[in-house]
Amino acid sequence: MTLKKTRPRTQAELDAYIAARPRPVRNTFEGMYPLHEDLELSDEQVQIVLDYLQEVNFHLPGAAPHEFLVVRWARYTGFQFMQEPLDAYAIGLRCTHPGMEDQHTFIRMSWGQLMGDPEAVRLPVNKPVLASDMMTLARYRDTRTGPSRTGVDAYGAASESSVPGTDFDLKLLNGALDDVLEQHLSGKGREVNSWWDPALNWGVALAGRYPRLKYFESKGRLDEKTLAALHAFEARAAQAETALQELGLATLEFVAESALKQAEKAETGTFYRRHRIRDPQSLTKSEHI
Amino acid sequence: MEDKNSPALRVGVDFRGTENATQPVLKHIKPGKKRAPLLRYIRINLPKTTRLLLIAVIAVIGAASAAVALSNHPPFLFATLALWGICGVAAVFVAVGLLTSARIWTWGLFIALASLLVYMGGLLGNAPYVWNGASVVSAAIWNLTLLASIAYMVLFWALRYGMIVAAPDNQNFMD
Amino acid sequence: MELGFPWWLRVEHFLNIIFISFLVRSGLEILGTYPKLYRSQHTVPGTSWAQFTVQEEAKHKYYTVGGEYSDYSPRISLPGRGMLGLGRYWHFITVTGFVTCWIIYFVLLLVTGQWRRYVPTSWDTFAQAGQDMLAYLAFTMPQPVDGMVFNALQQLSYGFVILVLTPLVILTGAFQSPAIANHFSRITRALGGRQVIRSIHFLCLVSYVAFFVIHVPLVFLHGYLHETSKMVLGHSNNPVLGGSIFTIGLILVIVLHVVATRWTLADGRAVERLHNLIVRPWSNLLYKLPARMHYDRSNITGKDMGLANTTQNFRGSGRPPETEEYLALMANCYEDDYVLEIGGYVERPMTLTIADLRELAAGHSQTTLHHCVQGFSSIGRWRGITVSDLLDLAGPLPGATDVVYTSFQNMGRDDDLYEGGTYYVSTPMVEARMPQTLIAFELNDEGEIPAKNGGPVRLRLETSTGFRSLKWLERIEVVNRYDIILEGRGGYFEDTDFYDRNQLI
Repeated sequence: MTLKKTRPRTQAELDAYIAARPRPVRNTFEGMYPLHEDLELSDEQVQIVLDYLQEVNFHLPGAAPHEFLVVRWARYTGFQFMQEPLDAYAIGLRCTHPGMEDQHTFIRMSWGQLMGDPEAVRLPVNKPVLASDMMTLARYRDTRTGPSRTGVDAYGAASESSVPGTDFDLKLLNGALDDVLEQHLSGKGREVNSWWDPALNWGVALAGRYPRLKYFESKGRLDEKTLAALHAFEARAAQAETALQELGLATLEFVAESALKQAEKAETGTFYRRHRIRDPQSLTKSEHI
Repeated sequence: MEDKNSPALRVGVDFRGTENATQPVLKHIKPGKKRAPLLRYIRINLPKTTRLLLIAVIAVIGAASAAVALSNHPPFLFATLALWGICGVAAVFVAVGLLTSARIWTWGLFIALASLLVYMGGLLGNAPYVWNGASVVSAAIWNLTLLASIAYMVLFWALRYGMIVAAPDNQNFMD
Repeated sequence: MELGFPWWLRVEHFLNIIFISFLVRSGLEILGTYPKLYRSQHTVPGTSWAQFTVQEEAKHKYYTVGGEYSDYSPRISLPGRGMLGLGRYWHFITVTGFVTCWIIYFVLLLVTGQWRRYVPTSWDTFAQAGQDMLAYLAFTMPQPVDGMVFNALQQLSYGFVILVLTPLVILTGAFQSPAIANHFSRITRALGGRQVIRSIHFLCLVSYVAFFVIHVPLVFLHGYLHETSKMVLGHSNNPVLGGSIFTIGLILVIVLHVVATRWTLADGRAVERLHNLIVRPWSNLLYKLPARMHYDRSNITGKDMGLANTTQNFRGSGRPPETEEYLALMANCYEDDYVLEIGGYVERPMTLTIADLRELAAGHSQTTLHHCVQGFSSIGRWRGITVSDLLDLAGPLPGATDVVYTSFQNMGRDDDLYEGGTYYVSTPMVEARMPQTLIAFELNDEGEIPAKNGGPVRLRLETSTGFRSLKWLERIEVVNRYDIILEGRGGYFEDTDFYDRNQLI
């Protein structure tokens, strides 16, 4: 299931698509004092946007400034976002360059510009970023703008002989390990702002994705290719043990063993789910695990 | 060029060019201090209740003064005249307070001060205390003129300080 | 019967000095983090009936409730400096003792017949109390009637504090708990709603302080040594001894406050351990109270109210992602660029678009009251799919215990108030499986969730305080443990601040 095939291709299609979306009809900032509100752009205003794109040569890499459709629902960003100037609007842009139709970006313009005021303040032009890059998993996806396959069966159907999504599990595990090693190499240690994300992704992957693979391995449900990839990952992680310990992160053996025991207990009905673990001893505070 | 549909400008709120336009600001903090004086942290916005409370306190002063004047135990010579005077002004105050939305709080202060003055006069004279031979009820009413006067002065101060606000005024919280 | 001052009553009196003073100070800490009191559950900015702050919020920028903190001095609140989590720990530790003590006391009053010391058995008591009031106003000291230990005014005022004010503060306190308030949603509404209850809870605090301000000077006027001796020895035969012991007791209470405040500011984790020991045994029971709210219906007639009950400006803490990518996402209406990943320790991982979610949700919505840990509330109609349904589709594997949710909000990047990275929370399976635990993609029939409220997709955990309802959701990962994630406490604020993962109170 994917929407990409049904996406609007012309300005008229896009207009119809956006116009069909419900809008807030009440004052959603009641009690607060924004200077402007979202705008519905007229044909003249769409032309102002298109002219501005040409003027500042705003384009996606590989496409030209004229290769955009304009989303008519211009969002006032000066209120909700601290770093946006008080006059700022974000106008959605959809690329029309062949093969890049799923690439969406925006242009920052001021209220005065959209009103056609020649004296209007001109705001710093933003980078031609992709909306889909907001997803932290974007780098693991099979297309530039996200997964080509979505839905309940995005990873295929499960069967006794195959397990869906193991490739993605391994991608996440290896990616998390890459980030951990990068953090370790940077010498920043547990400096919270840079340590946090690698530690989070590693912890989450080791508490979910890795036990999943180990569980299916124990049940003999992984094919040889996946098994080989799993073992390769385990070998990499074993080599990284020092880095993991220094960063206060869990190691594989410790996790795998207890996960399988827990699964076995659950299968025999002797596992009791605790709401929480009493006074957890943080890994960052303990000497080893 | 101004935005005619601006939610802020339409209601006359324009902080552009000030720090408060984009940042929270802390008020009443003296240079070198971390926090404002304690009582600055209290702001009650119950204008009608506060108005009624202020009127009620003056009504108590007036009623208690009348009761003292009617008793046979004048605190000092000509005190009865002063007490009836306070009672009369208090009655006018209560009537104006209830029937109009005038800001009459300074007038109330004069009533409270006059009542306090009478009470202090009583201290020098023969006030209706139990130990001066008055009944418990008379003494209680006499002391009530003191307590109510002090209460009004405290409320008046709180009003001026901004802790409370009386109708028709309002704290005008903009958060 | 001879009423006197039995030992358990004297012990209770002393314990209550400790409990109530701790509750007042920690209560002020909690108040200070959202120092505004409202009548309406919508907490519309500018409509509070009282404010306890000197801060003026930004006028032309959206401000979060997270930034409305007022840091009170540690001399006033426990522990001061806007440490809400630790203030809550103290409030709950103390309330455990306070409520236990009150229940035991109540039972003893009934069983021993000592209730007569507080409950008037004749209308004459009220007339007598009037006489006593006049006596006080006449600057004389009223005496107890024969057979009583207090004068009638004392009897009524103590009776009020113990038998009316205390049950009221306990009731309104209990209804601060999102689990209780949202399970007994009709009672919440019958009591006037979340903010009325919060205001009453605050007014109870004011009443305790007012009682204290009158009670203490009167103890002095009646004779300090004489009166306090009764509360120590049970009689006033040896007022110097009794009064001295009581004074030492008071000094100890003050020392206890100083030590508790300093200890808390120095070692919050130690207070957390104490909290876990004392509070968790009962706070865990609240997992048995799933939210069951229907604010889309009239409370009286049960008829559909549409959006009439919902908040126009649904408040929030936490700032939306401050990146150009997010602006691009928003400017393109989110829908075609966003995917939700559901995986981890499951049989069938999934990647869902908003269109997929919409189709799976089949129009399901819930209109619920949001309880912020700081104190604001808002009512929203959330369209979405229950986590339970998603888990059924994904099929957690044997031994799965928790569900972790991660956001693309980055705390260090997006919010000046915080450090760190990606925001995350985790729920025990029991909370994930609750019928109103929802993955929402639309608020108040507006087609989407506004950026400030977590668009495009967010979590709704209606039994927990608000910060656990993660916004800007990207991933749902089923796990079989959460202690190996970051600091091992189960969420961003649990890890970086002092909050229990059990946020049902």
